[in-house]
Amino acid sequence: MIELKNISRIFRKEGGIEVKGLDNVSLSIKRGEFIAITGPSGSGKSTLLNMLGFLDQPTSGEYHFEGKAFGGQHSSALARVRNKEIGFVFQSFHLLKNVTALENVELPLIYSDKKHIRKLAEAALMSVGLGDRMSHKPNELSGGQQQRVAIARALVNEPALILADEPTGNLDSQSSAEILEIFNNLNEQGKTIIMITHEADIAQRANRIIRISDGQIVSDQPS
Amino acid sequence: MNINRIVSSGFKILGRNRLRTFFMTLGIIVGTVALFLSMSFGEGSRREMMNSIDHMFSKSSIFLIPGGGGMMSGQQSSTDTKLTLATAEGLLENVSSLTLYDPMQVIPNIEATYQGKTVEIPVYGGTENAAVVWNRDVIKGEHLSRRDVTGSTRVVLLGTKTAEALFGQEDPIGKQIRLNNTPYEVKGILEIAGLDTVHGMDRDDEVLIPISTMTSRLTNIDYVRALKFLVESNADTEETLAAMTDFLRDYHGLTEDEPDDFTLITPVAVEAMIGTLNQTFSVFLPLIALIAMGVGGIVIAVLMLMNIKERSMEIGLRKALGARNKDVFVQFLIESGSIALVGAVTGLGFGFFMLQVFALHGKAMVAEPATIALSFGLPLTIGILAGILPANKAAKLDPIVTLQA
Repeated sequence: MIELKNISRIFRKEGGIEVKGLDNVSLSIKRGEFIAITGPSGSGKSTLLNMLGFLDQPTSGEYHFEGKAFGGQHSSALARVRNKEIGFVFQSFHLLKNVTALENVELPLIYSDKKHIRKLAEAALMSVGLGDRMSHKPNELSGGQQQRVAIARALVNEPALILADEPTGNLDSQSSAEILEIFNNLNEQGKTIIMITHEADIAQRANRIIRISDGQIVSDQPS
Repeated sequence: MNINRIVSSGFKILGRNRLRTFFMTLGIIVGTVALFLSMSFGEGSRREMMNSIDHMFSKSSIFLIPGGGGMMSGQQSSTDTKLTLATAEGLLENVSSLTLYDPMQVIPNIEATYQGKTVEIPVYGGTENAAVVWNRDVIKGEHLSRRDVTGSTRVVLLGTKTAEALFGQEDPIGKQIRLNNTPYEVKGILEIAGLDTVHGMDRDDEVLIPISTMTSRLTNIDYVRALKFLVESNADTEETLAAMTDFLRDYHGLTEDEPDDFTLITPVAVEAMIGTLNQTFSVFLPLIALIAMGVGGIVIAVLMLMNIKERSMEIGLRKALGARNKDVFVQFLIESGSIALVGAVTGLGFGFFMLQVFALHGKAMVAEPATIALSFGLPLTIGILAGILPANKAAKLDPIVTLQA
């Protein structure tokens, strides 16, 4: 599904200093995998996730997604790929606070060609067990519920890949368990999931763990 | 991509941020109302002024004033050759296209009393021709007669406001009022003439007496401030002016190299002068309104930029979820455009409402189609222009940066 070949991402800071966010990373991901990416902060985890999610582009190297080579595409084309193929889940949920759970879940569909977006959003919220919270606003929901809304939003457009950046980082242990349960179920249904975490026990819930340090993959093994 | 869906999604957020949305709308409303009212006020004043000019010059006429400096020369000096009724009679005899004249002489402040009520009013002197020459007849009683002028009778015509101030509901005709303690019989009530916007006087709060009575009893001088002549309607104005000039130069004994010691004024010249005065209304006021609107535009731009800063997470999120730069740009531009549209419509509605209110209080303001178009189109344009920069900024936000929690 995904092939990274010798991917590097170099950031130019003030004064011409170059920082390597990713350094010659090669990686192969198959459909249906559940991968945890771990590593210290600043190691390049997020840069890798942004790269995989078409939010960022490599300085050098090749990125193949579903057999297609990416690099140098127009930002509109990348926006389209993000919309169709990627579902993002963030540590701090990133829900729009002034609108309801249902309207939050509709957001990706607004930018798609899909019809009946309300029905699709309702179905996605029901699938994460929030069928009775659709018209609640984020501040009327618990942290775990908010993250479930965010997962519903990530799922609603039926993407091939779900990218989660510390999805349990702001949650208590019980809510974390619920979220991981949802991820495991989605994975069993065939969704490909890539999750950043720095907690070892959470990484264990994935079936493959990639460790990154200084922009390089230092280990890649099944959990 | 479905523009409707994108826009309505943005509106939901806009609608739930009422205070900021309200202030942005208010900025446009204020600008619209200011522009609309100042332009309508200017046009209303211009028409009022033109009406009083038209009234003065309703017949083809020529004014003669003493002094050679032209009509803007101001007060006549004591060395100027005086104009008298004899001058007028001489002109009438010698210039065949002149048909009638009436003098213009006024004492600005005279005490008029009737049964203990006193008003201070200007007193004008005129002849039996005044009704025709100034296009102002009486609505009650009679106008001055030839006999009143030749006999210097003590009769007076009252403006409607003076009549009301002195007599209230009582019929003034035939009653005696006192001007500087001398009794005059009220002979008639003058037609309503309204405000003289050129000189800033209320032409309904004044009285008219025979010019002969005025010169013999009140001023003790026989010269007048100006003379107004009516000209045959088919006469050539240039020829008439030339003939009048010839006569007056001869009458005043001027040699070839001496300049004119009088000025002849035609309606065309007066209109040109009024045009200059009008610039105050038609240029200056809208200019102020325009500046106000420019400031309004800056306010919108700043509020929109704040809006975008506050909503940067939303923008980054939308982009991460598949919004293209274009989608974000369109969303924010339509948001600011809609605010401007609502503001312009509301402002225009309020402007029309104010027009009615002013009309009830006697101030006629005129909204021409161009005024309406401008006070609708300009705020809308400014609102949209003020939205472009912020919308562009929003479109260029990097989701990676804005989503870093």
